[in-house]
Amino acid sequence: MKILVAEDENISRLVLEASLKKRGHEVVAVENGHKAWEAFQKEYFPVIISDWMMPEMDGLALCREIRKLPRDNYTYVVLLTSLEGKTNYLEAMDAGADDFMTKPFDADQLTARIQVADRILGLHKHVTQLEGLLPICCSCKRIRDGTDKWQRVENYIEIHSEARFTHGYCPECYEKWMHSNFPPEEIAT
Amino acid sequence: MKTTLLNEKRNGAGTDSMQIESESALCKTTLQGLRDLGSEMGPSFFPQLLETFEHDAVERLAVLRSAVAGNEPGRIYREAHALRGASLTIGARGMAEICQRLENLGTAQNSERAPEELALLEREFALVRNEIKQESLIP
Repeated sequence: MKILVAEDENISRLVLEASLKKRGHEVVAVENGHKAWEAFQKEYFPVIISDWMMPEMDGLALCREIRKLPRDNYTYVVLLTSLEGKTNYLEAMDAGADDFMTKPFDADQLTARIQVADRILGLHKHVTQLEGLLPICCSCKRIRDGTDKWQRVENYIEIHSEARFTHGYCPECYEKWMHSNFPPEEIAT
Repeated sequence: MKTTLLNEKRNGAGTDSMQIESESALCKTTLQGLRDLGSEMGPSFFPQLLETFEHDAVERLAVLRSAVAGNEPGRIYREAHALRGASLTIGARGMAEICQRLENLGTAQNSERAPEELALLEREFALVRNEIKQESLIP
């Protein structure tokens, strides 16, 4: 996963960058919020790990700018903090932060946070796909998927969501089916 | 003056196992973790990290000295906060404790005890620096 790290304190930035690279992530590390904002405008990062307190542009300001930028893909923002108190966390949530990690970070905690980010991003992608415009055949009602293959509606939804189908008849179709398969006197009984 | 657990340990209070910990200004477990991380990042990672810490701490201490002399709680808070983060990451717990107290003074807009804490921080940094030199010699 491509991760943008914004941290003004050199030691924390170096260790965080190394820890993420060790876990196989591609990392771009910068030393303040302003540089992070510049990098983010140039390319999409699915995850940003940013310090809360930074010169020039702090973590909260960075969050607000990121959320203002209209993009199809979501960016999961983790704020690094050594601050305490409910009010601060709520302020960060309002600014658009998704998660928090205290410094110095624990290696397992870092892995867990990235796993959560990956899960949330996956769910977001599913929701976006389901909310998007789907080409549907006006005759057979099959849906064209991302690979240009036409699928039955139920197949498509089952692949792109957790939904599963049970098959039955709605009252209207049931009525039609009965009339096409049985004589009226038999239906009456 | 407020005595901390770590300072008590360094002064000889506590159990034998605590005494072992008190002999180091740098946490050995944290250093080993960083050394392990370095083994995957390349041989220069760990020594460069120690060098960067030392260099940055010297600079931040200079700013702290100026902030304390100028009675500037805001700057005291910011510099102590940054130095505390670096100290915790490198395992310099004693320095981190003193930085926390300086941060608190900065937040309380009361820098009366700041010169005293700064002197303690300088002394603790000297111990850390000495251990960094020893660590740098260990392959």
